[in-house]
Amino acid sequence: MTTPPDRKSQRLLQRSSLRRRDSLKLGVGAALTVGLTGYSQMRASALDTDEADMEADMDAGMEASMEKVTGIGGFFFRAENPDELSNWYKTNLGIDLAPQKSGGLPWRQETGYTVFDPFEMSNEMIPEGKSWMINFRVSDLSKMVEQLRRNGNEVSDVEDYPHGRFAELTDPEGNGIQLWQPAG
Amino acid sequence: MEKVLGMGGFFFRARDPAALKTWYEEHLGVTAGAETYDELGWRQSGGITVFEPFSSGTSYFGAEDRQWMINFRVADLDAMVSQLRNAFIEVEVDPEVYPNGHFARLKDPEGNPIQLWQPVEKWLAAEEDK
Repeated sequence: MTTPPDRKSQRLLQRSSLRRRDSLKLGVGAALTVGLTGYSQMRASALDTDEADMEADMDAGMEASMEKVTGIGGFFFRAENPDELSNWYKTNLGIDLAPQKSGGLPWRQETGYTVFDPFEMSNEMIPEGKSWMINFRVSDLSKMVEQLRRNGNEVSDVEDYPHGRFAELTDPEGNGIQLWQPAG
Repeated sequence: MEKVLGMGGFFFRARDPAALKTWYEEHLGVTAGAETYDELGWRQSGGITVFEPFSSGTSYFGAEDRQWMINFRVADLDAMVSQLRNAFIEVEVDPEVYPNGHFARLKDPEGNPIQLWQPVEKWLAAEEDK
């Protein structure tokens, strides 16, 4: 079930944090939506015309030769209880432990889209006091949410958007996690 | 057991999000979020990701006030380092070659630590065979 547009607009007006969240979600792949328009405008306004032209020229010239990172090879973050937290990610989300801890293989990510997005300092989607948040792709969000709840985790209701389904939770140390089952 | 497939997003606070977005795009090729159905965002290649919580007092991130550090895989570390240095970005290459590859460090314009890693093919193959 998709969120009716009128309800969404109302919510967008009511909560700026939600607007930011919607624009982010829509940024993943949807067009023709309120949030997305805002997102594009935000990007467009960040560049004045000269800079935009220059960027376009650079893009054209550098595209072929530019070195690009191929993926995220690691993500490291501070924790009060690193071992417990590693186990939580392993048990609840299936993320294999770092090889130094497990002696086994590190986690292996599948190829896919990753929205890499710096937010305003005041953003309210990232939990207060935290500076980052991760979105994980899942193949079956309903099953994942069920598994998490069975393990005693509190998970938000699943919300449907044109480009997929989303749910949110926090890990035991309060770090924000978004789950995303891409559409299609 | 249900397992997540990969990282579909990474979001972090920034003083100047628009400028930082452009920086990651221009220097590392990490394109920002998608704007249309035809133009999706950054596409990561599949591969190994070391996902690791560190003790809160770690000095590994290079700065005490940083809560996180990201590692990006690269195909050619020398070429990437040259590209960054040509753009006057300071990069520290670790001279040691580790069994799993070689590494370099830099910071984005807001001081967030970034590690670059060119994995050793043989090591990757051996890990996958285990």
